[in-house]
Amino acid sequence: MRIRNMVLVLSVCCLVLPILVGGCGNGGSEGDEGGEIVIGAVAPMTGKYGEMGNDLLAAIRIAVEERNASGGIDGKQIRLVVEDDKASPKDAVTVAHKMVADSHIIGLVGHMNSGTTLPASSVYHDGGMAMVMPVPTNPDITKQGFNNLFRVPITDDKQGPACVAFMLDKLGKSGIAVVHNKQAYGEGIATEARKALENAGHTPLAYMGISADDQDYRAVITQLKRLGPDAVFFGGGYSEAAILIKQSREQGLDVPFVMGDGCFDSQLMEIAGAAADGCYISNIAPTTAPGERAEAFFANFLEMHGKIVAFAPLGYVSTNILLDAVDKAEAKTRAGVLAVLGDPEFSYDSILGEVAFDAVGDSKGQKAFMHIIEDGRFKTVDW
Amino acid sequence: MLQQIWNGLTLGALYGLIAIGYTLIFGIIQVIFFAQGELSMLAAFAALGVLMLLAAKLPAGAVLLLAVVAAAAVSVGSGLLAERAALRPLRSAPRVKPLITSLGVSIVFQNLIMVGVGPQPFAFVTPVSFANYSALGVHFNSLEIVILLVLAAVVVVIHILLRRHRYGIAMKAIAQSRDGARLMGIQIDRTVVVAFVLSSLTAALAGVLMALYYGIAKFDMGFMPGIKGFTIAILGGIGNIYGALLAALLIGVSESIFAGYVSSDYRDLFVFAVLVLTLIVRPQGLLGEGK
Repeated sequence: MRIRNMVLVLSVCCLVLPILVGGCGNGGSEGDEGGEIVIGAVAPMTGKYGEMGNDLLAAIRIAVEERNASGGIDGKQIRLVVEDDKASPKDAVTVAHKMVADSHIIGLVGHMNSGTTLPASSVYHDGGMAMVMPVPTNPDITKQGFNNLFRVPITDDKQGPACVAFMLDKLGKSGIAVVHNKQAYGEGIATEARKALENAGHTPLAYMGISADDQDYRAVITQLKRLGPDAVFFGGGYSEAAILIKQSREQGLDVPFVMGDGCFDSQLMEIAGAAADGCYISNIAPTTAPGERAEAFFANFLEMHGKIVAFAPLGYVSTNILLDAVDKAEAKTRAGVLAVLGDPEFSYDSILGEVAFDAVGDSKGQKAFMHIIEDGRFKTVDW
Repeated sequence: MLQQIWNGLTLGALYGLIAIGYTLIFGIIQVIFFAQGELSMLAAFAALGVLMLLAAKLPAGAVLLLAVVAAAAVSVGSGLLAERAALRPLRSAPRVKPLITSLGVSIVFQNLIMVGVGPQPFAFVTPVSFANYSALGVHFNSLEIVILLVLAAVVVVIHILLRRHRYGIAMKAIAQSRDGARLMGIQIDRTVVVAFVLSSLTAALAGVLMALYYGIAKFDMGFMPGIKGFTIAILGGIGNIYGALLAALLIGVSESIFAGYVSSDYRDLFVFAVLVLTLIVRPQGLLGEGK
């Protein structure tokens, strides 16, 4: 009986105390934290995507530190509140509620995964907080009719067409065969690529699927050779791509392969070896960028962290967009920031070029960064 | 066309090595041991382990030899373990039971690697490079020739074994009548173990050759070849080594030609449609069930 009572008392304490303590923190008026401006950032810091998330956050911190070093905004320093969503949709919603509940936070950079951004976005929408999204690419996110979403990267459905434009305009290839892995991502991007090709007045030489369960693609390659394409577009994962490229070279099919970001993984070069040299892969972020400011960022980041894991440049750009909006906002509040970002005239000159948002919040003129594989490394192609 | 036929022959040879394992075991205990493809996968991972540990330390030829030995050891070990744990206790049970347990074994092996090593494909970097040749418009490389030679060697060895060796003759006796063989003093369990060693060895060879040829090792790499190997064993007339050999090459070539000239999207559908049709027209398989 006594134990039961003790447990009861402890449980009540556990429930009530955090509410009392937490309640105190929310007393101040929105956005006014003495001499500070507070923004939030969420990405996975632990788990499978932890390395990518920390890479992104490192760049976000650099952007904030640079701004503080140059005097902050209106003489106020910027404070960054960082949370870990573990790449889990459930944790993402919890973290989003936490961010929204902290009234000092007037804008957010995040989240990283489409799967976490989708459920979290409605929480931020209800809280009236702008989300500058550095990485999520699922087109559905901006189809929810929310006014607080601002997406920096190209969406999945635009990547196939971007690859086709690259093949036609930059590489000057028009005899293109399209191959996919019969799975949702691969067939999706290949279908978009085929449509783009047809819209440009070209008929794909072939449109065919290979099975991700199989490892023998020689039958398809022999057929490709017979058709004699100038280039092959492949939609799928890096492991099929690696085997396909390797076997193509062995069979004497030496044309370039162009692929979407599903293949952007250095494992591709490990499996395919030198056979992968001269192939092109698009990605939502570049590994290098031209221009003085960009070069300074890349050099600084590499010096501090050794390497760019994945999306660091996008974290830097997104944070600067948010800070620019805070700077331009008359009232340094959530509504003030949202009004600036939502203005159709808003644009920001980032290290990766001009960024502006359309009515739903996708970036205008969505740009894919193309990379060529040289000596087993990705190198961003300028086009 | 010649290229597609060549592609098909080498593909069929890889399937054939797995099919021979199915057929050997079925020939003796009338059980489909479903984990053949997974034994190949385990062998490939064993070889990969050796390559990763020793590639920088020893000459290429020695590393490759050690990799094959490790692959064979792991495959035989796992095959015998599966036989002892999942099949032998069910020796006199209805045949559907060992069929189900062997399916279970194959799922266990896949999951062990998926959870223990990782679900992603691993690069299988060959320590030796294979020369590419071209003749009559056909591109081929030395590894493809090795694959065909290995299959031929395996068939010859098993042929001689079944004809001449004590255990080979014992296998045939058990296949004819298990009770009769036991009454004649043949040790059933020991003979079955020999059959498992042989089939695990052919699976190991298939696994290492597949990994070398495709350049990757992945937890589910044995699944599709395993299913196709099984199909081939049935098509050729289960229990019949020569039937399996013929069916492997036929399936390999017709699959390649179908994928190349009709549709690569439906190649697997084609293979299994051929299986169904053949079994309707000729239920005993191409060359009849083995004895």
